[in-house]
Amino acid sequence: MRLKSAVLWGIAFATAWSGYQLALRPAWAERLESNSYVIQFGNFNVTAGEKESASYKVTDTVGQTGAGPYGQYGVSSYFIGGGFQYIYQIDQFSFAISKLTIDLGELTTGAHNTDTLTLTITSGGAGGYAVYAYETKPLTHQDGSHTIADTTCDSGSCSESAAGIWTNVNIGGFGFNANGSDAASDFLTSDHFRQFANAATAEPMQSIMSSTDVVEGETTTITYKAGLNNASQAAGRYETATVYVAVPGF
Amino acid sequence: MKKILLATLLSTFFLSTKTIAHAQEVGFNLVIAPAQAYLKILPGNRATHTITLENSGDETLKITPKVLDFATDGKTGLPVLLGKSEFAYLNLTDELYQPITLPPKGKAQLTLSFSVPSGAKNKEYPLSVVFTADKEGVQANDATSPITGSVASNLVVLVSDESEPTRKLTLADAGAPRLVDSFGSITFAPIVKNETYAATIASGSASIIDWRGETVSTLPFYPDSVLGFSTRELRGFHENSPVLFSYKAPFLLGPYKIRFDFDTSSHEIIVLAAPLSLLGAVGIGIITYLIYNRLLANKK
Repeated sequence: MRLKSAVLWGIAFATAWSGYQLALRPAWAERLESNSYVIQFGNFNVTAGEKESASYKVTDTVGQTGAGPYGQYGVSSYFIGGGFQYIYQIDQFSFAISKLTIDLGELTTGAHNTDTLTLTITSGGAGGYAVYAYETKPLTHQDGSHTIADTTCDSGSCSESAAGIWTNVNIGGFGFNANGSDAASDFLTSDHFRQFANAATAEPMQSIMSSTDVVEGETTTITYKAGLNNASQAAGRYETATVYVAVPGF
Repeated sequence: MKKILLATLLSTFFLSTKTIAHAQEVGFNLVIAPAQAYLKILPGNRATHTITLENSGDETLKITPKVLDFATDGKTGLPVLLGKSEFAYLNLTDELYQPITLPPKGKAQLTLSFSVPSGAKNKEYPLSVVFTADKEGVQANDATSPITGSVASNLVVLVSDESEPTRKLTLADAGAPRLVDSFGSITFAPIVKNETYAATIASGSASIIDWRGETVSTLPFYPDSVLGFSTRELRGFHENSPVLFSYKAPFLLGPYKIRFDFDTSSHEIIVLAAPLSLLGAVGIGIITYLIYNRLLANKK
């Protein structure tokens, strides 16, 4: 009797679970077919073109059967552009940086100084893009004889390839945060920082922003941060040079 | 009094002018075309490739080109730049690496010239032409840190004496689980290997066939390029966009065959669907009942 009840309880749970799952069944797109025919993407070519106003820009091909590129422009032995959105495959690649200097100001003990810039990418190719970053040398005092090491963050473990939380102003160093939908996934919050790869010690540049899809005006904000470790480090102005390399996908 | 007022106004004017001048931060915006290209050269022949640059920013840029080799990461189409180039068939001229000065809204073209000797080995060379731009006249000083932007244009050069190099893609990894829950989905990310030296476009499809032999889902491969002797994760092609391979049914049950059809070969794997979560629910129900009865007995 007890076993029977237990099994009934189990069946009740299973029934509830199945009901929940089946209630969430996916919606299916309409497909016109019978035993003797299949119509794929009914082709009523209504309009196509580039439309824009002050607030939007869109291109469309309405009604085109199998719109899109077949084969790849310049490499395949064939290339068919159905509709006209195939032009994206032979489109341009643009990269913008909001400013060409970073000013971290006068560094003093017990404080972090910051400055920001914005990277913007437009990549027409479906292969996407990646932006790599590196510094040419460590952050160096204007007197040329003092440097600030790249940050290892609060935990002492962040590096040029792995971000870590860095909020403790008593922990000095130099690093950056990347914030944007295509930013590297280890920048979990705006308090996560990485070191720049240091070209002077042959560290390979690191990807900080990427996508494998077409992007239009995708932005990522880079926040530079620097601070002194203790009073024995020379206060003052420090500088380095950083390089951003944008590479389209293939 | 008037003198003091005048002095105050003048100093305010000069200070605010300086502040405004300091705040006028001008960036960098470089557009290149084409972003990627493929060039086939027969041994004993010459070829050229032209890249167009446009300075869409507001400042004059000094742009220095450099040719580097790139490698694939074996999964995506994102190039991994190597620090040098071992490509020997580029005609190196003095002009090639000379900086180009590009005014705002100005355009320039860089033409690369290739010369491949007779008898050159059939091989593919993935290259990136990297354009490094600096704001002209900017010098690093003790107050600010200069930023440099670089943009690459990919060029895959194929040296081949074959009119149509052999195409052969094989499945390196189906990227699919062997066991899925009946209420879940069959999701997979196949990795293919190009067995030949020349880049090829993924073509073909992936189909899912149920235990009755009926094809329940077919998705063509997105026409991504797989470089010679490299691997790449394939994507599905749906409504003009790359998508993940995923099949969801109300209730999956039994063996499902995933068949990958390439131009020259086919591969199949079996995925088993079982009501794992349902069995788990039965188990949780039984355990809940037993615990409830135990608590009830203890209460009595």
